[in-house]
Order: sequence, then C-alpha cells, then structure tokens
Amino acid sequence: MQIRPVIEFRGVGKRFAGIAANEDISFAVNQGAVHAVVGENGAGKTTLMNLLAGLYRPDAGNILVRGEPVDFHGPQAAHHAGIGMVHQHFMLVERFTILQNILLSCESSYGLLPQLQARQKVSAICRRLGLTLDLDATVETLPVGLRQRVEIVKLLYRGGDILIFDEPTAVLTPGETADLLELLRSMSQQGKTILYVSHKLSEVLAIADTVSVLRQGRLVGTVGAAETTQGQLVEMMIGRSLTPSAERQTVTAGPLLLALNAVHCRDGRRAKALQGLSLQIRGGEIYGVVGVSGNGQQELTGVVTGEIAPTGGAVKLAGDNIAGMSMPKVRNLGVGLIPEDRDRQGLVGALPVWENMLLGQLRLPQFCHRGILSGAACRNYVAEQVRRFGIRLASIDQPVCSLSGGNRQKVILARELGRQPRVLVASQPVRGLDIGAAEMVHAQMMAAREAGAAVLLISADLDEVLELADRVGVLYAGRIVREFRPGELSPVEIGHYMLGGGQAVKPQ
Amino acid sequence: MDGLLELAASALRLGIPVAICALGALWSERSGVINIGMEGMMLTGAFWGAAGAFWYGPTAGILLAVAAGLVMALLHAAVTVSGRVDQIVSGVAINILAYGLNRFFGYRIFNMAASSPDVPGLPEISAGGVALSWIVPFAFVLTGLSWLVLTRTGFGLRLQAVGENPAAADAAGISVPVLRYAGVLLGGAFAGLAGAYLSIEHTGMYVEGMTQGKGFIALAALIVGNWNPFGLVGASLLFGLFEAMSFRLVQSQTLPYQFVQMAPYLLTLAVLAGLRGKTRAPAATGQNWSRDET
Repeated sequence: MQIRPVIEFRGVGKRFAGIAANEDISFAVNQGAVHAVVGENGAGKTTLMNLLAGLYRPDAGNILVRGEPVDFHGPQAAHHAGIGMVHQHFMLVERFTILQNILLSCESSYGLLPQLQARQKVSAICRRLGLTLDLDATVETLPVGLRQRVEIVKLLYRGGDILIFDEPTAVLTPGETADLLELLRSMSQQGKTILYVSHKLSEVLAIADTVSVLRQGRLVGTVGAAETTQGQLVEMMIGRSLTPSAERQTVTAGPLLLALNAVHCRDGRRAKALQGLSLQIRGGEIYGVVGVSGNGQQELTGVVTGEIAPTGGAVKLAGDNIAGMSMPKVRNLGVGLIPEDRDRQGLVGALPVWENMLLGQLRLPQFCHRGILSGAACRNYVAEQVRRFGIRLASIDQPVCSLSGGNRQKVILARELGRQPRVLVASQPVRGLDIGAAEMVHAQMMAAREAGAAVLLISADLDEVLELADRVGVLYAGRIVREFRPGELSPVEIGHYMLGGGQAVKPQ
Repeated sequence: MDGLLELAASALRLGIPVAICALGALWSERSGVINIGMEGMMLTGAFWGAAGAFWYGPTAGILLAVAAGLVMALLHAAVTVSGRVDQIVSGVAINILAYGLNRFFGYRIFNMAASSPDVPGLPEISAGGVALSWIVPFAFVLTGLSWLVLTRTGFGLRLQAVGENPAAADAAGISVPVLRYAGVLLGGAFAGLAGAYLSIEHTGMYVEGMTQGKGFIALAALIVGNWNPFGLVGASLLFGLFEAMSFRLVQSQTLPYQFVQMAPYLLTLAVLAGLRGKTRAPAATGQNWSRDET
C-alpha cells in the first residue's frame, strides 16, 4: 500500500492588505510524521498554519486533508477534521480551571456539563502520555510549561490527530524544551501527525522527519531532516549563506568618544547599582559588556543615555561631561540608543512607521519650519530610510506594531543611525530576532563602527559579544571587573569573572 | 417587631428592581460587554410595561416591557458587537435615547410627556401582614437559575470564556459575536423586567425618570457582588435596606431630607471604595473584539 499524505497544500495563497503572506505553497505531510515548517519571522509560517487550523481561509489554492479538499469556515470545522493547534500565545482562559478549559473547546451541548465523564477521559489521556495534571487548578496559577501541556491535552481530548505547534519552545526553559520534544516523539509514535513551526534549527533537526522551508511567503523547498544540515537550512531560509564574520574591517581607533569614570548610581529601589564603573570607548570601536543580568546593565545604559543621573563620577562624551543631562540633550549631542525592550521603550506601537522613525527629530529644521511639519520632507526621508534598511512594509503610514519583530527593530535602527550618532548604545539588539534580521542588525552596527562611532554593546549572548566586539568588559556588581580582547579568554574563564571570580579591575 | 418586618419588606421592594437589573448587567458583562445603558433600558421597560398594563393588563405589560428591553439591548449589541463602537459611548447614547423615546411615546399614547395614568398590577402575595409582588420571589428564582446556567452549563462556560479571553474562545470554535449578543440581550430582558416591576408593581404608573439611577446602582452592585449572582443580589438588597431606612429617617424629620436621600448613594460609593482591588471584573469586559485585530 502506498503511503497517502494526510495533509496536502496545493498552491495555497493568502494576502493581507495587498501583501502576500503566503503564495503558491505546495507540500504534503505524511501520517504519523513530525513535519517542521521553518522560516524567518514574517516568512508566513504562522499564516499557513492558521489556514490549516481554520482561522483564516486561503485566497488561492486548496488544502487537502486525508485526500479530500477542505474549506474550513472556522476553527470548529478544522476540529471536526481532527486538526488542532497549540498557538504561540496560549489560547487558555486564565481564570478557568484546567477541566473547564478542556471542556470549553469541545462542549457544544446547551445542557449541564458532563463533568464526570470528562474527568475520566482527561485522566486516561494524561495516563497515556505519562502526564500528571491537577484538573481543578486554575490555569493562571500554572507555570508556562504546564499551560502548554493543558493545550496539548485539550487537542487530544477533542480527538485531534493532526497537531500544529507554533513556536512551542519560544517560552520554555531548556529543561521544559527537552520534555516537550520527548512528548512530541511519543505522540508521533502513537500515530499523531505533528506540524512543528519554529526557527530554532537545532530543535527542528532533532525532532523532525521532514522540513519545509518558507521565505517571504513562498516555499523554498521540502527536505528530509536526515539529508540536511543547519547551514543548508539557513541558506534556504535567508536565500544566501551567512556572511562569514571574517569580513571584519580594520578600523584605526579614533578619538576617545565615551569615557565613564568611577560612575556610581542607584537603581529604582534605591539600591547601589553601579559602584565605580569605569570604561573607555574610542571611535570605530565596539565595546561589548557581558555579565549575568541584574549586575548593572540597565543602569549602565541609563547613565550613558541620560535616563539616570549618576550619584557620582563622570560620564564624558568626547570630553564633555554629560552626567545628569536630560535625555533629549544627550541625544542631540550624538548618543543613539537601541533599547532593550523595543516595544516599550523604542516605539509607539499605534503610531505610523514614519512618525516612529522621526520620534525626537521632528524639531530639526529639515523636517519642520516654524512649528509646522513639512510632510513631504518627512515622508521622503523616511521612505529613503525604509529602502536603505530594507524594511518590509506595505506603507509608511501603517502602525508600527503591525510590522514583524525584525522590521520593528530595523525602524529603530534606521531612526538611531539616521542621526549619525557619535556613540551608539545597543542593549540586547537581537533578542527575539531570527537569523536574517539579527545578521542585518549586526551588519549595521559594524557599519556604524566603520563610520567612526563608538558602540557600546550590552548583551546576554556571549557569542554575539565575542563575535562583534573589539574589546569586552565583564560587568559584575556594578563594575567592570575584567577587560579583554575576544580570544584572550576562554568561555569558562569569562564565566568565572561573570560570577565574581576576579575582583581587581585590570585595565588593558 | 412589626416595624422590623415592615422594614425588611420595604428593603425587598426597593432592592429587587436593582437586583434584577444587576443580574441583567451580569449576563452582559460576563460576556464581555459593559452596559452603561441598563438605566435607559430599565426606563424603557417601565414605560412600555405601564403602556401594556394600561391596554391589556399587568401580564401583558410585563411581557411588553421585556420585549422593549430586548429591542434596546439589540441596538446596544448591534452597535458594540457588530459595529465595534466603544461600549461606554453606546451605553450613554442608549440612556439619552430612552429618555427621548419615552417622552415621544408618552405624548402619542397618553397625551402626557412625563407620566402615565394609573395602571393595574398583579395580585399581591400577603404573608405575615406584609404584601409583596410576585416578581419578588420570581427574582430569587432567576438568581438561582442565572447561577446554574452560568456555572454549570456549556452555554454558561462559553459565555464566560468570551468575556474572559475572546481569542481563546474563538480558537476553541466558539462564536464570540453570537455569545455576546446573547449576553447583551439577556441583560436587556432583565432590565425590561426590572422596569416593569417599578411601573406596574411598585408605583402603579409610569413616571418620567422613575428609575432614579437604579440602573447605575445595579452596576455598582455587580462590582460589590464580584460578578457573582448571589453576591450582587445581596449587594442590591443592602442598597434597598439603605433606601428603606432613609425613607424612615425622612419621615422622622431629624435631618434635612435631601441629605438623607443622598445616604444610600454615598454608602454605595463608600462600599465601592472599600472594595477597591478586592473584586475582579471579567478580563475582557469593555473590549470589543475581532479576529483580524488580534
């Protein structure tokens, strides 16, 4: 007997506001397989899965389930076909108990709830998967990993045998991730078909039988997981191989642009956060700061950008003390910031892209005459920046929150670098971004370095810092306890300093 | 002793319209739609209740009042759930509209803008020397039923889910608009009944503005009762008790009556302030929803 695919996409397309989220996608998924769908943010993975789950309807093409073409009018219709989805943001009612949440998804009767039978059925499912759940616990009291279990049990309870997981490990700790992958394996052995959406390639290769790669809404190809490598998948995802980091250009160190001298400050709870921090960055240099979070990273960003007034010491921008100056003043003197939380500190979500791109610059004479904005000048400038930074959008008038994470970060980059800052502070600049967007952000930071800016990179990702920085400082208890050049110390040694192993400051 | 019994009966008579209205508001808010227009819907119910009773007798009056409440609620649901207009704005508009419509139909039907002639009521229940309307025990039955349906049936669970997390409900295959219409319409029916009680049973005629803010007090009772049927009925009856006591204080003429009449409302405010942070509204109440915007 020939293996019949359980799901088949045939030329599926979907557009939103004129932009193609999916275009002409065709591939098949076999019964009992773990089929991964990978791609960058905005590649159309989630849209495609929402089509299968009945949340959207395709504009073009067909979806076949068990050989029959289907046209789902809503999620309920997909449920009846045995298709269920664990969304990236869990679809649970937080104030309901686990049992109520499970009942909710399948209880269509208008009579009294069949509590007892439901309880027995859920327990049987849990036993089969080796899970323990307290069915009367309120969901809001559960940790994230358990909530995900509830979602899975919910799907199985209503008879789902095609299960879609959208970025299921994005919210999990490494331990929970391992447990989840184990659970998926056992479900697939029990005959469930699993669609696994992710951009974490190591997980994908560990769990999947086949992998479909999407790029800009189109299918690049479908490959067997055993016949491919991470490098190959990356190439398919971003359409080229990653630029090797060896292309780094030598830049002659410029003048001393940023100097912190024995800076002290307190955090929001009045505790000492920076305790005599000193560092110096020259033009054309990237200075990386590593450390366990909570050792003064936020305060370091704060004192350089003017958000926090230090209680002692000096912050010098090209020789002038800027300690205690207001943020707008500091920005006008040439300090740019890529903030840690781009949505809360970097953008005004509901405002259009063009306004976000000009935040803090609307009073500059090129955009504004006697208090009246020059629409054409603003729009031309923003359109030019959108082109230069390759921001994918339908219009510069769309609200910035409707862009993908990578594109939102590019809007911030375009704004901050557009002013040609002398000092650029980048705090966790690629957190939550996919490979292609992260590479773009890094390339722009290198470009700023080559243009002679002093870049202060604060990141929790040691690899990122070691790859980009010219010099690295280890931040511990509000001070730089060790400075080194990448390659001088092994990761183990760096970890030692991050945990407070080195006490004296060793200037290089 | 008689005085105490009479006070309790008075508290019931005054509290029951608030309780019925609050039960209606419960259905609406549990489905995620705030209904500031309860006051207007109750006033509409009071007017049409009087008109129905005037023409065909008290039972017809009550049915007509419920129908009138449903019509007003349908308007609120269409504007907020389908039209996704701000729920507060729509509710305020409904209150103003109700006032104007009642004046208009008052002229047309009774040739009087501000009141109706006397209308007949239902036969009363007499027990232990006090007389009460049949609607009073019926309201307690409705309270129990509301609790049962809301917490123990599939319909109630789905309605609550829509008010807590519409996106999750939608993903579970539940129609958010259908359940929100159901919640708002139930609210309108209850408001109409509360209005009928006021005009047919309590006063024996329609008087302009006779709800005296009871629709708003019902919303306060909903908060004090923490969106629970029994809790909000208790809060409503407590308000009825305050009001009954204030009438007695007015009669005793110990204080200027304006201050005494304020007391139930001030006490309600005080209780609300004291409960700040201790009660919790349905998470998505007041938020319009559409699949494409989430």
